[in-house]
Amino acid sequence: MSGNDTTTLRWLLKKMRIRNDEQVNLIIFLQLYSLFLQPLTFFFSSEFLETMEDEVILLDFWPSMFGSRVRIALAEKGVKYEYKEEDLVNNKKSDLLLQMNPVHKTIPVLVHNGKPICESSIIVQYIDEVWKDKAPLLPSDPYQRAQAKFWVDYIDKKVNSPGRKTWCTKGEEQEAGKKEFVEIMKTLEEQLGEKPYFGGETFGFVDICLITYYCWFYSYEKFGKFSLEAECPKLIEWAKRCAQKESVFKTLPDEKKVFGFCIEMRKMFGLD
Amino acid sequence: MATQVKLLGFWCSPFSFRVEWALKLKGVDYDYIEEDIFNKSSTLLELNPVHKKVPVLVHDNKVISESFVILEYVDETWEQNPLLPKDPYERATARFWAKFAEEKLLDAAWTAMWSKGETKEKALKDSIEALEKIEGEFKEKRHFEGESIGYLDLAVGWIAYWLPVWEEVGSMQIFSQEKFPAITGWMAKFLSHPLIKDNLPPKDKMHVYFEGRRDPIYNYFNPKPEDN
Repeated sequence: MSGNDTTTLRWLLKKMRIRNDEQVNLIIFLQLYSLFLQPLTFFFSSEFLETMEDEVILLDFWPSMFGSRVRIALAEKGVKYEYKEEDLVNNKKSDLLLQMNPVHKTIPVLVHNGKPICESSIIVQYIDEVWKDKAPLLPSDPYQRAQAKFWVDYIDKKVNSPGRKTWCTKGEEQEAGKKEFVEIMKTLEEQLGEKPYFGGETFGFVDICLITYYCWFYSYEKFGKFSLEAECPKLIEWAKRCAQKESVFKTLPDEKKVFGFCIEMRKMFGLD
Repeated sequence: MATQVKLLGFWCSPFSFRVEWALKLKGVDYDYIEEDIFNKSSTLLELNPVHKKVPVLVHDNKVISESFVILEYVDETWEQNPLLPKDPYERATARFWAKFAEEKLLDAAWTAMWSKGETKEKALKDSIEALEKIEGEFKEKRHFEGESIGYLDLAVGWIAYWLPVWEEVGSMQIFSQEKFPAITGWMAKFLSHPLIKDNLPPKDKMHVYFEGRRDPIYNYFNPKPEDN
């Protein structure tokens, strides 16, 4: 505290009718505070805490469209993390996975400073809320946010099951799966409209949750014998636009590699 | 300009009630519009063309569907009496358990109510397993022990009131006080909350309604082969 500060303070304390001896005690206290305690508050500042490294681990399986969502979100935010591949082909789940997701025992699981977060759409929202200073994935307006959450909920409920049927079943079941899948993609295409992304001008939550199916389209089309580009040209345009983003093209596995995985799986399920 | 809030609901839908509880907890005035879900109005079909279901919230000219999405919208729009915690990890945990209870318990318990034979047995087993996991969560975590009702209480509130009715209608047992002491404690607290206890559908009417739905739903999923 400077000489000026002390003088001003004494004037103020006098105005408050504080006795001289009490004034002295107060001033000594404040001088000690500014010398010793106040500098320590730096260690509780966000400036300091941000420099401390977060420990972020992602438990995942390379072809999973759910795991890819998390990887894209982390890439968008520039978060460094350790990637751990789970051997799900041989059903060899790691102890860490069983410990971190005892309820579902599925990937992806994000482990942030020892605490697990499960369910991909919940993880993406978590990432957006924690690393909030960069690349917002959800809009700030409550109504726009509700729209985004509604469409992610739709994608979560509707896409996976018929998508899976197109490559993992035969005959009538496969036909029905294909029809349903195309209808759902058409609904999503309609929702996209003329916007560059689902959220409008910027890539966001809905885009992330849907684009991870893009590398699976080739397999769905090959086994299901249809062309998604013919059925939903605008949606494929959107997908190609998203795939130009670094976070997307660096994350999504090659579609031919996914196709190879489907071939292996079909053999394992006795379909071929 | 005065704000206008409308809620399209159904008199014994647990999904509608979640939203009503949230609006009441926030002290938001709203107009309730009863929807006949067996004869859906053109309004409902226009407002929710994707799912054609209740509840639907209309806030001025903004339309929101899906009860969990509506809960979060209500929480973000009217900030008093917050429903979701502020901490991102606790929010993620609340969302996780709401989703789990919906996908693993509610669906299974509903199926167990109307189904028969092997389907019923499996649904019953799945329901009990799911409830056991929820009991574990109730015991360990503090979401449900807070003084104020929150998002997760509203999300799973149906367990306290709808589940016992479904158990009777389905002649089955999923819940018991001895096996689920933590849930039992929570149920009593939840149902005695002033804003909840005065906002529940009449139980006798619920029995009649669900009894009446049981067989038609079974028949819908198990159509009888035509006689030749």
